[in-house]
Amino acid sequence: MPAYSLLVNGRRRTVDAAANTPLLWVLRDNLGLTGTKFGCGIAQCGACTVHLGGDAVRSCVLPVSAVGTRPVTTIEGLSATSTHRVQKAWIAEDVPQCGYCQSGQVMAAAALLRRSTTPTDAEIDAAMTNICRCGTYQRIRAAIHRAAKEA
Amino acid sequence: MQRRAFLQVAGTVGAGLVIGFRLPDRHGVVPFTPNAWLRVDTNGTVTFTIDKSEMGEGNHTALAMILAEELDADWSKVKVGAVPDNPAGWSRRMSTGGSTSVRTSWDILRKAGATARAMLVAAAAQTWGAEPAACSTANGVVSHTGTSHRLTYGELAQKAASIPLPENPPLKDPKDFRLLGHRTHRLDTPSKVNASQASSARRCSAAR
Repeated sequence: MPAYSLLVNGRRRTVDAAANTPLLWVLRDNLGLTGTKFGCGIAQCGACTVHLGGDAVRSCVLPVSAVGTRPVTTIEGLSATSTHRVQKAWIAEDVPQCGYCQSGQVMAAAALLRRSTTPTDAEIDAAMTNICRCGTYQRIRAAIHRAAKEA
Repeated sequence: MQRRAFLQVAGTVGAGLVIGFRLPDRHGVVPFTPNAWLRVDTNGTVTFTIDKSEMGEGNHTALAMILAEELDADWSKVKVGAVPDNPAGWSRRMSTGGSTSVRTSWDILRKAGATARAMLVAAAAQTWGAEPAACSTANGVVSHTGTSHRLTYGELAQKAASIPLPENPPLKDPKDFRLLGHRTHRLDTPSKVNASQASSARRCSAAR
């Protein structure tokens, strides 16, 4: 198996993996970063969302061989102290219920706020295509507005 | 039901005050096997451990609120502990569902909280040579009426563990509730936004 040198959460990591291994499984199984979840496996639900070069990507369908030199950030690396403004807003609004999709939701929201400082409801709905079985969408919207104000 | 059948001091060695109790289920209470614990650490942290799953419904927070209400705990120092794997005496019959958590636990959680509170008050009263009736509690502190004496639950936890279990600790009049009926933040939210949560799905499925 080829070896890949990845920059994950600011650390240089080397992993041995088949070229078509989804980044998700490299993160979870090779690197033990289990905060990123497996949901559908076909890039539909967004539970596996991480940042690649600052953009939200669905790691369940991204081959490790396609990562290249771009830095990867997972939920574990979003903030060393869990105080990213999106995380603080999520706590203030008590967004999660079961929590399973929330790593992906938080990462998607953080990427959205990086490219759009004050997103409208419509922009939030268009960008936040992650699925939440508990139906926390209203609070996700409120939390993104709250986080935008704290920028 | 005999009180002794659902409450006991579970341990004292260097652990502060630990009370084991049993929430009702269809399996009865004899012999006594606790399925919940209340622990007041010497640093003032109140840890509530229970064999109910938190799957997003908020039951852990709701149950902790009932306990903390009667205990007059400092809510910012209340946490729900991880369910131990298999401690001695642990009930192995666990179930969560049917909207039963709060309605089957209400009375006993209140009594457990009130029991611990009475023991902490008794420990403070002994320390001061005062009457327990002259002591009041709020936010994890016992105060003596008429003097400036005050001790935190953390400071009292070790001594309280040696106090005999009170027979009929008074329960609050619901009009005096400070937590119940008021909005609080969920205890499980922080762990769900920084990947530290060990979710039910993580325990049970290949998705870990």
